[in-house]
Amino acid sequence: MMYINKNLSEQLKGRFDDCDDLVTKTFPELEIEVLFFGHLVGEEELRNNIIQPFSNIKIDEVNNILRRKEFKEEEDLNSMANGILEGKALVIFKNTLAYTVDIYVPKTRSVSAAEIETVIVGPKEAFIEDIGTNLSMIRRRIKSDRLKVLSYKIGTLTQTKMYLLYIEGITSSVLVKELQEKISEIDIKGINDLNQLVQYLDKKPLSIFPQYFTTERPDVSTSKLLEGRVICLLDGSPYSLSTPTSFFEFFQSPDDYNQRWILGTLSRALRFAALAITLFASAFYVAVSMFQYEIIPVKLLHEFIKSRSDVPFNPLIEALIIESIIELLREAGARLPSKIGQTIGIVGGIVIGTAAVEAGFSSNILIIVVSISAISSFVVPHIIMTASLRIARFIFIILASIAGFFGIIFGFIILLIHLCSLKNMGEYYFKPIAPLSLKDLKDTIIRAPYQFFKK
Amino acid sequence: MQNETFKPFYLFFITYMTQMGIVFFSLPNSIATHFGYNGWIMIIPISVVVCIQIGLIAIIYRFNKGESIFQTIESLNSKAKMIVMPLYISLSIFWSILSVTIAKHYVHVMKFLYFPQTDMQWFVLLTLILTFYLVTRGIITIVHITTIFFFLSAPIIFLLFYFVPDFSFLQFSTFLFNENTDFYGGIIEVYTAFLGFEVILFMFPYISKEKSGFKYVFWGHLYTSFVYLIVTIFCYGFNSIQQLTRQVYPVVTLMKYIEFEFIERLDSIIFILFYLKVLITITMYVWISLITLKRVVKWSDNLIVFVLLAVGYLATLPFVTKKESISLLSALTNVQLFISVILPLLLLMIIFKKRRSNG
Repeated sequence: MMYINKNLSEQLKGRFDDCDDLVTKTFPELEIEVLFFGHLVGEEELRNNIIQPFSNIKIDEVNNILRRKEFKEEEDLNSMANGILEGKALVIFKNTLAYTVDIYVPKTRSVSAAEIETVIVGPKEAFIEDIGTNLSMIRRRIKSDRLKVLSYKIGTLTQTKMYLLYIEGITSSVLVKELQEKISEIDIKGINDLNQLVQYLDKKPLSIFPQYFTTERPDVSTSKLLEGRVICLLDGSPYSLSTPTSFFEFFQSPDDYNQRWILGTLSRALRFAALAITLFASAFYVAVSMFQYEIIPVKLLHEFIKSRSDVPFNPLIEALIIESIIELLREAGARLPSKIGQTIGIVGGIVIGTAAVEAGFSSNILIIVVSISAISSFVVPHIIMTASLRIARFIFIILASIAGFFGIIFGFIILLIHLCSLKNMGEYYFKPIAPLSLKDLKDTIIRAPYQFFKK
Repeated sequence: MQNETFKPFYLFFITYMTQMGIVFFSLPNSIATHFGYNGWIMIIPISVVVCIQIGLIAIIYRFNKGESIFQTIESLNSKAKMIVMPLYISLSIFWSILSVTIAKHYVHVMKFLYFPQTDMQWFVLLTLILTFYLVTRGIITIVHITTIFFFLSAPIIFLLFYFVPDFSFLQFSTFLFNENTDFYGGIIEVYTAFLGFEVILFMFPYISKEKSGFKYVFWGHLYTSFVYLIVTIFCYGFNSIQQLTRQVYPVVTLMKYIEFEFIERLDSIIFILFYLKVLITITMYVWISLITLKRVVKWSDNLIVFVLLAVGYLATLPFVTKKESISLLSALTNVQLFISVILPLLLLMIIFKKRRSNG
């Protein structure tokens, strides 16, 4: 059926009224008008598909060209407008027929090395903001027709493109369906980043922990796919989401797999030690100095008391001050360009650290404890988890000041119960510790040699 | 509503963690005072008796094919439900009082050892908050937490190696049960240290049906016996009998002896790690009183647990001092001991009667 409208061009231009970036190109002798956004299309594609074919031909040859397969006939005004918005060129012939030609070439940065999730050994590239490039990075790694890609649009206004990837036969179809439902329930005007989207998906929004795993590394996403998880990509976001998520995924780095198993195992052990230090070190200091002096050996106790003797505050205030300074430094460091960032390091590390002790604001030992716990918090490979742990640390410090070790254990139990009762897409968040699965522990707490993974 | 189930191997952790409680700290002392020289031997026969008890539970599990014991009781005849309702309510209240008393006892000991100036009601309330939070998460989370707590607290046992150089067989002497004071009272007291295994009775519908899954209860009990035995033997080898009878908490004293380069007096940390075990014991009793009361009233879990804990808290309020709380606890555990013996026997009678009437 032919969609006949005498004023097609006028109507479309009416819709794009006040959109000065809309480019109109006319071939008057052929009665052809081309509408597109110049910044969404590639110059070469425009030349090859539009300008060259319509140059130097007669009007009776136009129909032959329009029959080419890259010309898609459109009948609906909405889809024509959407086509232009998606980076297609709209070819209007005799003001009644409309065809779209996809010449979309987004202007994005080129693929570069991962900056947040860096590795020592292994691939360096990271996702970029263009969803097509991101998808190609995954397709390039999994050359199988079993890798399925479902396409969605998110955001009533932004119409952001979103892909849902899974491997048929490995991923359970129930999981895919459940995630599809969850995504379709999201009702928002627009979304900028995948890390925003995951917060809409959260089952327990009040939890301090990230409930979905996001990564900027295509190699990590690929391995998640192979493990039977579902991956989401969002246009405009250099991240991918994977689900079901486990707490322990945030403590894994591709380095564990690319290096020898013994190093992988030991560095995981180091990370869990860092987890314990970052959560409890400052709280332990507060508990010891406020309640349980007796656990410090006599030789050490002497130094301990000497360093605290000049401090006018109680240990809680002291610890909170120093922890807050560290947080200030970290936040300032994150916002500043890297060149000025170094200055912050010097100011923070040397000036504030030394001066705070000399001015009697804080004890030496606390500065050491807080620095160690700050360093430990950055051992955790995923920055989003680091943030959660830092918040938990403050809670532990306050609890330690209320009831010493009992306060710490109280907070710890609450934390564990919370982690154990969290669920993500039907799977327990604290897997494989709860529910306990010895088979999966081989790749969680330790990283066993690959030969051991075979069943 | 289909129950979510857990794998039978969790029964190991549940049994061990529920049995192990605050009694552990004073166990060598009560063994020494009641049985005298080489009293640790008595752990073995009592453990065997408890094994037989668990055997009875295993038989019940086999016969009622994983259906809940409430169904077993109520299926006896149509009027049974009317008769057992008051029983359910009183048992439920009893267990909630028992669990609050256990909590209070732990807090008393903690206050006595480490927080002499703090008001103990705070600690009791904190414990009840934790219990409330854990119980209302449901049995699967309780089971998972139990397992994690096990792995957090189990490595403490390796600290015993620290005492090997100071261990002396001379302390054991050649006497057996000399200087014992109250032999039968001792048996009761050691038996109560093993209490907790009976909560398995209430878990039947939540255990996934697998062959020979029940053996894990035995393993859990044997592990408890092993820990009791080895710690008591070490206490006997480390102290003289006179020292043992004079220390209220010999295990705490034992831990005070440990010194490392950076840390000493580990007892305060270990004692607080023990809180994990005590919390599980409390939680299990609150949980069984929750599911018992659920047979009677149709309230939400949150409300039931809140009411139960409130009742338990108010009921134990008059018992202020440590001495009063200990005497209350021993009275309640004696009742619980009676329940742990009678309940399996009663259930077996019901099951056999049903089988006979069914031909």
